Amino acid sequence: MVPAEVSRRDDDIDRQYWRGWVPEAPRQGHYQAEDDQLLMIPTNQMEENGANPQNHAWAVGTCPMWNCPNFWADPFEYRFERCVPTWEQEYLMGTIVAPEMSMVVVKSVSYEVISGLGQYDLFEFSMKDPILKDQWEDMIIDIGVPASDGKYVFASDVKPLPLEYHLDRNNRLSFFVKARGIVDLAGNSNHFPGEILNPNANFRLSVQGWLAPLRKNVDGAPRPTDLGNMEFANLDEALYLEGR
Amino acid sequence: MIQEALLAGAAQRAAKNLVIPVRMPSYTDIPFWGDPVTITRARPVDPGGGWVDFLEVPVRNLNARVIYRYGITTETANVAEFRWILGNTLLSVAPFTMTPGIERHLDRFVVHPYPVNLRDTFIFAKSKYRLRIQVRNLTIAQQYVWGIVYGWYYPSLESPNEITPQEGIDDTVRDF
Repeated sequence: MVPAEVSRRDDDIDRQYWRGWVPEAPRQGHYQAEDDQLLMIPTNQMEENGANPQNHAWAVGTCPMWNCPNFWADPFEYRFERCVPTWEQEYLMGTIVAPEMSMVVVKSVSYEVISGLGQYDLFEFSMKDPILKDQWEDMIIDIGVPASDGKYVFASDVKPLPLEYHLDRNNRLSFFVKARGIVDLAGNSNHFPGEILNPNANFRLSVQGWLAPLRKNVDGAPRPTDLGNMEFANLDEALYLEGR
Repeated sequence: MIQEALLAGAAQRAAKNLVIPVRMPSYTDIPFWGDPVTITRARPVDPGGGWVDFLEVPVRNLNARVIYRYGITTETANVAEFRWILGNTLLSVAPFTMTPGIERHLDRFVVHPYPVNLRDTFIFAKSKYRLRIQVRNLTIAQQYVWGIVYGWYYPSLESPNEITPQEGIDDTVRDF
């Protein structure tokens, strides 16, 4: 009978001597972008009595990418424009589709009515994904001035209206507009749905925010941010390098 | 002994590079599952009507609402007063007034401080109750009132049948 092969690894005195040793330096000196170093807790400083700073802990906090844009985030401003020919009917202005590798973070919108509506007329925007997420309205209070000079109450082409929303990847968000006319306290318009708006109204809407990348832009293959840092000083990885 | 020290060093390095997710409070930053609340109203309020509903934050089931800022403006000072109502309860017994921000001219309005002044607040409401702003016209003429409410919804994990305004809701974060 052939004797079972016995591993001789434990007899290697050299290996036993270096067991547990972890090389200090990263394998490669390339720059690795950290997108989660926004909140650094500086507890890693030397104490007065000269204690080893390694005895202190420090941590890297993460600010969620829908609250803080990271280094690789791309600001965007989507602009939609369309003609609205009738009163009291909703028209699609445009749709944002979140790309495969990014989250769309919406922070504000601004808008402008180019023509068509008159003094005291209301207009209403809706946001659906596809259920109704938000709905806001504004009014032309002074037809004689430019939009940036107080033509509307709550926003204009240069004054954004705060709007917090984020779209996960591959989701879509649509914006609609409706010309309403003069309304009473209950919100009833003086126009009926489908009444011809003469001349046609032209709306412009821009949506501001940033695209938060869901993959890390490091050298080599992009890596989902869910998997954490692709760093050397990960204990599992260190043990793996050590050969265990 | 040196092996233990070296192992401890590895653990220290590992711990040093840990990424700790910080929970952003849902009332200061919108959570991942949050939904927007940006509602604006521009309405005429007739005189002698008493308290009337002006702006209502729509109810969404299983959601809590955090109202972060609001602003209301009128033409001149002391023409209208307002109050928040959650369910059937006044949020504050005394009605409030806001700084007027819009002037009435002959055939138009002019925004004075532009845009509407926003007042920071924190109103936390749960789904079962309607949250609304009521207005009362104090004059004998029709007044226009403009109002904005800005904040966000965030999801409640509790049963909608057991919701009371006094309960707290845990913050929600997206776990990586």
